[in-house]
Amino acid sequence: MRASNLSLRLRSAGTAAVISTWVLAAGIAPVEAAGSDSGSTATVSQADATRFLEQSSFGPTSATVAEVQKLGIAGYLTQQFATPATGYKGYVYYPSSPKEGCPAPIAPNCYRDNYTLLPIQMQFFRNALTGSDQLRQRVAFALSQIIVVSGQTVSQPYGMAAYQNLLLNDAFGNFSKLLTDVTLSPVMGTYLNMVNNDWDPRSGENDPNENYAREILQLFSIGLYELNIDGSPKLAGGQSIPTYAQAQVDSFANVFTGWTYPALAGATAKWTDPVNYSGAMPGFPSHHDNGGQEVLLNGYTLPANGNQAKDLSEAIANIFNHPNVGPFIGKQLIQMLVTSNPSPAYVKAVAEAFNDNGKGVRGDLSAVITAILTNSEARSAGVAAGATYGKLREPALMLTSFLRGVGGATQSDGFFLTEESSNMSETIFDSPTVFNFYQPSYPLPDSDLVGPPFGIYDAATAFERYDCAVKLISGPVAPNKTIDFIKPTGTSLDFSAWTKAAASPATLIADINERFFHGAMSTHLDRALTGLMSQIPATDPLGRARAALYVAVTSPEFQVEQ
Amino acid sequence: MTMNRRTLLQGIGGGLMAGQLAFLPRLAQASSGGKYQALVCIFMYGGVDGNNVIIPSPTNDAANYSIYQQWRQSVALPSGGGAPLNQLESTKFALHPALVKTSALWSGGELGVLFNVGTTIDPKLTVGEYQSNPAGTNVPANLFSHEDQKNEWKSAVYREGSTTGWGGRIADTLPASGGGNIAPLLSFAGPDLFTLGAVNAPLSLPASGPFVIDAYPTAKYAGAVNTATASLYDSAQSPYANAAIHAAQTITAAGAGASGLLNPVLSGTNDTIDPFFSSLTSSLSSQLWSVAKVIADQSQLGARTQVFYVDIGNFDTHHDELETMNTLLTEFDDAVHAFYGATAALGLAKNVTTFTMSDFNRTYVPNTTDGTDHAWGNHMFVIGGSVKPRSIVGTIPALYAPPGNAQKQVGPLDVGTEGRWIPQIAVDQYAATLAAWLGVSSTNIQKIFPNLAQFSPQNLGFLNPVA
Repeated sequence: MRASNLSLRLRSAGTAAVISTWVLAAGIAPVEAAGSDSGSTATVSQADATRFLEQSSFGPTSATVAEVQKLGIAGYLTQQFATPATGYKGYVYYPSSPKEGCPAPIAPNCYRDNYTLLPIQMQFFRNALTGSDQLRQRVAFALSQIIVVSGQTVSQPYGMAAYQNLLLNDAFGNFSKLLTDVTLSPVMGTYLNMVNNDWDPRSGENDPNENYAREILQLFSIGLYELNIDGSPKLAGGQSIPTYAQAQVDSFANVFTGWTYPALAGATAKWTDPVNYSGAMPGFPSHHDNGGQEVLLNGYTLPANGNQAKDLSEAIANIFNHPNVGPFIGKQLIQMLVTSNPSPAYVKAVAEAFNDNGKGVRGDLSAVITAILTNSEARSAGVAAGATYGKLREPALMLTSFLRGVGGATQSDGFFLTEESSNMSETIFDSPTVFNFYQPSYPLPDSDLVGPPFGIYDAATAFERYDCAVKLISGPVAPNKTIDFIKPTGTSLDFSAWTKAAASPATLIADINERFFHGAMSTHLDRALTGLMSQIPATDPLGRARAALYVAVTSPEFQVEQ
Repeated sequence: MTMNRRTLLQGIGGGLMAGQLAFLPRLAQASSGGKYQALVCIFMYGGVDGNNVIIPSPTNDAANYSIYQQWRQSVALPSGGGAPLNQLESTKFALHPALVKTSALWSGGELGVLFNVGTTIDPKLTVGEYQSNPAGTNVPANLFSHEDQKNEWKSAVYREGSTTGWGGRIADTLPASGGGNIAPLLSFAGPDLFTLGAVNAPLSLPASGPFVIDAYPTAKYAGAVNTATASLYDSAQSPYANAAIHAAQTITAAGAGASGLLNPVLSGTNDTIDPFFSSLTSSLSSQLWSVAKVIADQSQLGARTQVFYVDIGNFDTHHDELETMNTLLTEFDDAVHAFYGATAALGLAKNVTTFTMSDFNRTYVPNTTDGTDHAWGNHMFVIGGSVKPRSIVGTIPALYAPPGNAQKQVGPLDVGTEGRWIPQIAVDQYAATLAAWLGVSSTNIQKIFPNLAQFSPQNLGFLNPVA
């Protein structure tokens, strides 16, 4: 039914050369992982540089498009891998008890500034809008939705800052280190109850808390079913094969005992320490199940090491070396960065990069990211035009892509964007559960496909996309004067370049096409914008620019990264 | 192969109605007869610890209460010294101390309890069979996993995965209201598997407040801008080949089609029902307030049969079970009582049945952090004027005497040593009873619940038909 409705795809004015470059580029694909010789500028068209940045940043800008074209994709990746995290700096320990942290008489905003995520959420958007570490931030944001902690439990800014810095710092490192760091994070320890999880030597009646043990397997590493390297489930007698049973959850829960909060500065570590989200959890062997003999994954029996740290590292290694990790984590990263329904061949290529980065190293995330972003399925405009391709832009990405795309002196302190993302069911770092804002398996309505972000896209949140666009277009959005941890600036868009272009509707539409649709605007949107421009006189170029941008960014096709 | 939903609704809308006359005689009759009926699903996210929602009564079943205390240790609800338990009249059961108003609904004859309901395929499954092959084809897939158990509760599909939920499949058999603009299933808890049908799209509304696309702020261009945006979400004018774009478009279009009718209802006031909710602040109470507003205007909207979906979260009590449960069940208690009161004030108490679902029950034996972990068969509430007064369906799982310091089975239905009950009532039986009450034909019920045929009885009989 859809095929007969196939919409024609337009390219912006003056892109004939781009298209021919594209054909050449597509002919070269798939690009070999991180080949240092593919930095030639001639191979990256403006359209592909723009699309690449839709996948690898918080939205293309004229500057980043130029940079990708200058460095080439491989060169740009190399540069981004070397760019340190903008991160969340200067957030220091604050007492866990609001009674202590905000004593009477309570200073205005004390609670908001120290016991809610608002400062971090605002900084998330500022970093996303302006940080030079775009790829690191984008990958860390994806990881934050796979290896989830939430402000529902850990709502102190310094705690969430520590966890997000961990993800940012480990985003291009080895997955084994990431898994270890997450496991020993007191933020994760609090969220999934590994902190103070005690072996019960008294009676043996009570089992340790199973929460972290279950979710590290189910969500953070291997998933529920044994997978082929292309992400498809292995079958035995027509049935999927579980990767573990309750017995393995019990075993890992036993191994994950005996960890408490890092001691506060100047204090001696003890079981149990008071809440402290900074640093890594220390072990207390007397509260750790030292017995070994736990049957972990793939029938591996943990020996009686008599050593808590060794038990942990062997358990992490047991998980890390499970053949599922590459396809399970790789596929989700593809879904977060590129497309919701990757082909098995695409998943396989990424999983192979996970299994071996070309130098015999397993778990190299920079190799995984390179494989994701250079695969022909990411780069081919022909593939991208397919009916099953792309992903719904989650709210945060829709907002940042809009603002970065408008460009110029557009700026935000992040307050309005935090609010609006929340109104669209994506409250940054505050997922309702460890299952993220939406599940990787959420069905795309009216299809046999999945559309994970559709798990938070409905009539109500779709309307919010129009409403926040109205506020931004008719802005500036005034600063919230009660904010004092930074200088509140509100949010304002700079329409000057667009107003200049608006003297000619065709030029304005072509510019919008180039920036927001990588030159692939549909005939429907082109028609709608052309009709709209005919209703707004040339004497009001700002009116034209605003209206055209509003219709473009609220259009169904801008909601989807394709 | 994908369907253009809007085209489907518009193009064969008349045919759909005609088809339903043949397909669903009971509902067609109901439509012409003017009788209104609604189901309201409250999903309790995280897996509510049902073992502390309803417990053995300290006064009427002291022996089992003592065993309960010994097993549940740090999460046992005390019989004295704290907030009192809510004894259910002369029964052997008491409700959690927070469920004061819910227990008043029991006394009023408007509350029913179902014991040990859950995801199950094989009514004869034994503990031994489970233990010998926990991944067997007679066991639901991925027990104790939030995601999977929620989805199995919502879909009534236990091993294959599903892209539809049973709420949505029921709604597939129901007509839209509001001149075809208001879907038969309305969610106030966001998009959700439970709400997805094969034919009818659900309509997902804000938990409270306005439901409208703000007008473009430059008045002189607002008309032209609206023409442009509307042309883009109209799949007839702007057909998109891309499935994701098409889906985004149709969801927006469905909202735009319903907004004109529903926005005045949802953002307006209603003197009959507002007083029940105006002092409450929880998300669940906001959602149920919105449901009540739609129900209050059902005749103006032309609605005859509706399904509503609301939620309450954070029941994943791996630690600090007592404190969390007290907070959340207080919200539940206030919201549910207010909602029942509102339907009664509208004269529709018998026409609305509210029911609970949750991921799973939690372990009977607490863990070392004063919490409880993921388990299986759970206890559910049904509320409304059609509930047969003082209904108790099923049996609370029996307990063995505590063993001292050795780990062993908590009761004969425990599949391990921590108290995870094999359900004795299937989700299908529970759901089919609700669907039958709503008027879904037995033929359709068999289609909606393909596993129901394994179980008997297929109607648990806890609801009276609406006269």
